[in-house]
Amino acid sequence: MDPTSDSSPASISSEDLDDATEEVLRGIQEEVDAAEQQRFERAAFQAQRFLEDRLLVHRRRRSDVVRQLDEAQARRNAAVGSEGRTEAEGRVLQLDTKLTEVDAAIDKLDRRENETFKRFHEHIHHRRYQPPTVERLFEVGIEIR
Amino acid sequence: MSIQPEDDIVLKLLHTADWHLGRRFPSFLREDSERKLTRARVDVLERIFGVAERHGVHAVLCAGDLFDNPNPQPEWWQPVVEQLTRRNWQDRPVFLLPGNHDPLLADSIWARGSRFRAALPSWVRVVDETPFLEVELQDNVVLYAVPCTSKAGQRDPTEAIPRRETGDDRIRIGMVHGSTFDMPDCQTNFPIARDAAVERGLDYLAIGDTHGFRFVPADRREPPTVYPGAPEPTAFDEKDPGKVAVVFVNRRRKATVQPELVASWTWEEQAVASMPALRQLRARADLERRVLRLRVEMCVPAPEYEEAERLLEDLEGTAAKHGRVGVLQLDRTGLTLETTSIDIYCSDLPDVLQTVVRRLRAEAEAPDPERAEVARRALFNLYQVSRKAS
Repeated sequence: MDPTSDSSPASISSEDLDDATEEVLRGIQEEVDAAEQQRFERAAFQAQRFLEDRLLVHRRRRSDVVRQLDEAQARRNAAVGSEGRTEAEGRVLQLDTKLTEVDAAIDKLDRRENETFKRFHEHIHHRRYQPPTVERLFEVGIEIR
Repeated sequence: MSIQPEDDIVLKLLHTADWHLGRRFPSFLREDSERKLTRARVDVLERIFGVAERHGVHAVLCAGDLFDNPNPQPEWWQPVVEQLTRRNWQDRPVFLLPGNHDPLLADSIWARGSRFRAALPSWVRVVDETPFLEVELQDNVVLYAVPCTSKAGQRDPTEAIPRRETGDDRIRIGMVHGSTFDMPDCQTNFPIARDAAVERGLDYLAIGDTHGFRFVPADRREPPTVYPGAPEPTAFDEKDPGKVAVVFVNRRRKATVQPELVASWTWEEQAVASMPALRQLRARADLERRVLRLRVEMCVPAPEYEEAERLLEDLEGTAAKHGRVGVLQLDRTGLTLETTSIDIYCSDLPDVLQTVVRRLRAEAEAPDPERAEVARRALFNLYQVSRKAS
């Protein structure tokens, strides 16, 4: 039968219309979500990398301090005169303090106690997970004749 | 699957399960790798609750195995308390269901009076009623939840949920923890009938146990029975993990499910058997959020062996630089030096060292694999010396 010859009015149930609307909405929502998720993942990675970069630097510094401390302790143990020994002892103490400071900095970074990181982390989570707002811009009425 | 226009939705739920907080990853030898993976398990909570906020869900259902054992250390339950406490969800209840890994036992974390329970906000409800909890989520919406009270059991937990009575037109949601593998003659732990949602008259059945997202049965969407899977993967063989399920129920009691990705890590296994494949892997731009198990199986001449070492170092990282792969589990025992042509590359060495090369070559062919490997390493070192000298 030629469909154009059918003179009966087109019948679309409200459920069919709902389904079609749902499909369109779903498509748009998935596209937006995928792009948003990708942006969020990238930002979250950058935030984490910011901390890891600092950790890397501190760990390298720690290795240096440990090496210097080993050398200083060896010098102190080998020192013969009291003056030399006192001087070497001073150097050991100085490096010990430095090591404690570096360890504290590493520990803080490990616990993610860094203001810049915290601010950025909160910002990206807020941007990703805040509920969408609905703003009605205009209303359209369609009349089918 | 489709999402209804907002005004048609009468109920929105977030369904998650299998957090397995407290699980360790001893097979990852590097301390920082293990730390990254265990920390990810805690970090994902913020994302899960973020999804709940973004969708403005009416309730959050956590369907079991939230902890890897019934008595986790405070370092595992405190982040749960912290994440929940910083939200003021007076009108969004959160239901925590004990699973088979963390069953409801008298001395478990779920016990009334435990430090964990005492620290939870008032709108967080631990499902500690047996045989089941029945609670009205809102007008005409009821939740039935059945906790695991032991680590193993042969009874279908959905059998405890009352069937829908004639004339009951409320939205009925179920939440249980168990396994839906119903192979004949195969005993499973807390077996759940695949048609339990239909049998019990549930409009949505939230289940936990399997670590990948899936519908049960795979081809049935009405009413949905869903495993959301582990929000962060826990092993390489899991299919489609890293998600939560957002559930929309409309006025006609039709539930539709939208999986949402929350994981920050993707687990992947790769075997590399040629230099082009290794170069290709090194060039990939998506490795930084990968947990990669890499097996290298190839026998290559000295220059390529040297390049392979460099590429693997790039992937793994050193004390001075980050690796290209987020977390790498590397098995390089199959990477061997091809020794038959090694003397071509060592021709600049003094005679005495060339004699050593010949002896090592013979040793590299020895039947004892350990001695052969030592000989090959020594040959490779000689090759590097030769290169530096020239």
